[in-house]
Amino acid sequence: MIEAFFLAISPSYLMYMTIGVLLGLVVGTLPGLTATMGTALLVPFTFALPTGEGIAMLGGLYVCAMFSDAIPACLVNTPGTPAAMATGFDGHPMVKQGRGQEAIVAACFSSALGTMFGAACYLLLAWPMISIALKFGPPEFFWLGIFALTIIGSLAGDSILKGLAGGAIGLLISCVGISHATELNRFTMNIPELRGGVSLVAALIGVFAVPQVLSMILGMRKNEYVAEYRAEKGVVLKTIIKVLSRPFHFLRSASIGSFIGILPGAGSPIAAIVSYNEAVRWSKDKSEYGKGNIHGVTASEIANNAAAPAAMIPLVTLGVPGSSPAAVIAGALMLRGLNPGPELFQTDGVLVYSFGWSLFIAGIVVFFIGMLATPLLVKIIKIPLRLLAPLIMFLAIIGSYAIRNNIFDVYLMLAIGIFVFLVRRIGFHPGPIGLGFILGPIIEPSLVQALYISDAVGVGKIFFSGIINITLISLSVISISAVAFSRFKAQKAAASLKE
Amino acid sequence: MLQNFKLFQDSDFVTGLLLLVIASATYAGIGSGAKDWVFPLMACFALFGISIVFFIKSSIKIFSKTNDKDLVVDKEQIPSIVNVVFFSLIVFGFLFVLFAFGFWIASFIFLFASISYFSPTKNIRGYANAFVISLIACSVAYVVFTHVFYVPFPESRLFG
Repeated sequence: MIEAFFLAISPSYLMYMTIGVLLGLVVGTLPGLTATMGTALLVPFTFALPTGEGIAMLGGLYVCAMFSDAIPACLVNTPGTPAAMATGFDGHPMVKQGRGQEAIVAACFSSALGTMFGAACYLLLAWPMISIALKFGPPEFFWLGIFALTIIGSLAGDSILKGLAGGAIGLLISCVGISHATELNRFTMNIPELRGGVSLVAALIGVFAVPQVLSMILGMRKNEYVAEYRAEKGVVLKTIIKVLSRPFHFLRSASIGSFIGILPGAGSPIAAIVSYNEAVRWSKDKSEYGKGNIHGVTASEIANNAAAPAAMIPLVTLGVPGSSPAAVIAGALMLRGLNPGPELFQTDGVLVYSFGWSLFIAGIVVFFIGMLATPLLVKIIKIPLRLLAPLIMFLAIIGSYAIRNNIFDVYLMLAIGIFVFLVRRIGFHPGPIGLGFILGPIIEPSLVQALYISDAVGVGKIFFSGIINITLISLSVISISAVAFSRFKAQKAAASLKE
Repeated sequence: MLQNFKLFQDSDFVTGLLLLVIASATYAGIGSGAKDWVFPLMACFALFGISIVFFIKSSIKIFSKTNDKDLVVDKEQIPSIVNVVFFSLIVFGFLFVLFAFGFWIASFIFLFASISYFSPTKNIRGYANAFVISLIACSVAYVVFTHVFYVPFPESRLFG
């Protein structure tokens, strides 16, 4: 491992990893470009490099994209990738309160910490963690998805019923396309483009960006800018101290992110959502979340960044990628004749560990590059709304087109966006709709697979037995009860204030 | 008649109606095969249930004559709504001409038209600003998306 460390800090490794980080900054910031797309596009360029430097560059891009997606999420309430959806819940209200710089610094610093924690897990705990992850089957994934869905209680705004309805609408949109059970066309209305389902990225741009742009236009006569911006001295240090003042919060979010990152198919978006949910559940004052709480931003960013290096653990231990960008990195290794899996540890241990160290160092590089870019990026909110609204819409359109080079995705994005803009008027929050859309592809296949297994042994034994299932069910019940209790208390307090 | 119209000013009634429409449309599209449809059916029944709750809430308000009027549009809001409608039309126009004129011309027209429309100063300087900003935005997007990320933008069918 020491040899691998010295290799990772060699000038050529550092240089290519930093190039990857810089590209990741662009990929994450532009809505429509995902970390998967970025790593896939970078693979051909890495062929000219030695294997170690090549995958260090891909890793650098991946972890930086997991930070930079928070920038549009905070500044204009449009997540750069699905993993930043939960960051915007508190990040954008912070920006609206004139705390834009604090929000970006918090996202950057917590992303760096999360990346380093995930990389440390990769280097030190890969085998023990993978043994727990292997116990996750379809029913466990189903309950994990249901547990993540309980966050609706915290996001629902004034009406929990509207939150639930929004979640159900998101889940229904995720059902469009070929079914997971018998490959049947569902809700496709004989439109061939719908057979492949609704593009997750295009739909999320529709849920968050389009209503935001239309709301900007609606409020343009009252406000000239998204929010006020005032550069404050010492905000970087103050924010870092704020993040470090909650070591338990950091450990919880990073552990959740690392563990969920290992689970194949779950990935950074689920890690961020579960971590945010847990931050709300453990908080003494739950009402602060969703209104500009810095710990909402850090919970999401620590977890989604910790999940990125952790997604490499099943790749190097079992040969199973934990996320889509990890699958691209697996492909890059295979194209060089290397087989990811336990064999790689034995035949090329230095490469495996030097990749882990590169991811760790990428966390530090992300922090410094993020800090250099923050003063410039925050100035986006100084652009008048009359310019910002058309520019965001322009980016949203070409971003949703770019993901599959399909104009139909743009039509869907606009249709979903206008729908969400209209239902916001009657009290719906976009968060639960986006959440349902992200969680649908996790929950439904797990449910269907578990139902097939239950044909042989019975539903009760599949869904309600085993320590992991019971733990996840209990956590879901506790999460719902805690939200119901805090809402009841808030209503009671409001009623007594009225009296 | 007037009473019926007032119902549409209550967000609970409109929510109930919207959810009922979505749930009914979904239910109509559901076929046979338990495992194919179990998940959408669960979401559909959840929407049915929630819509009923909103109808009950709305009915209670009607009987107790405490109807909410939270969906009334003020006269002051009308110019902003006109802006939203006009901008939406520009967006649809952009999509319409994207394949006819190709990325460059369509994007430039879209940005120039919308920035000029929202500009508070409708003079030569305002139009010149809109022109420069649109040109820079199109150039940056073109370079980043086509030359860095290899996204093939639609080409003009009219000009080749």
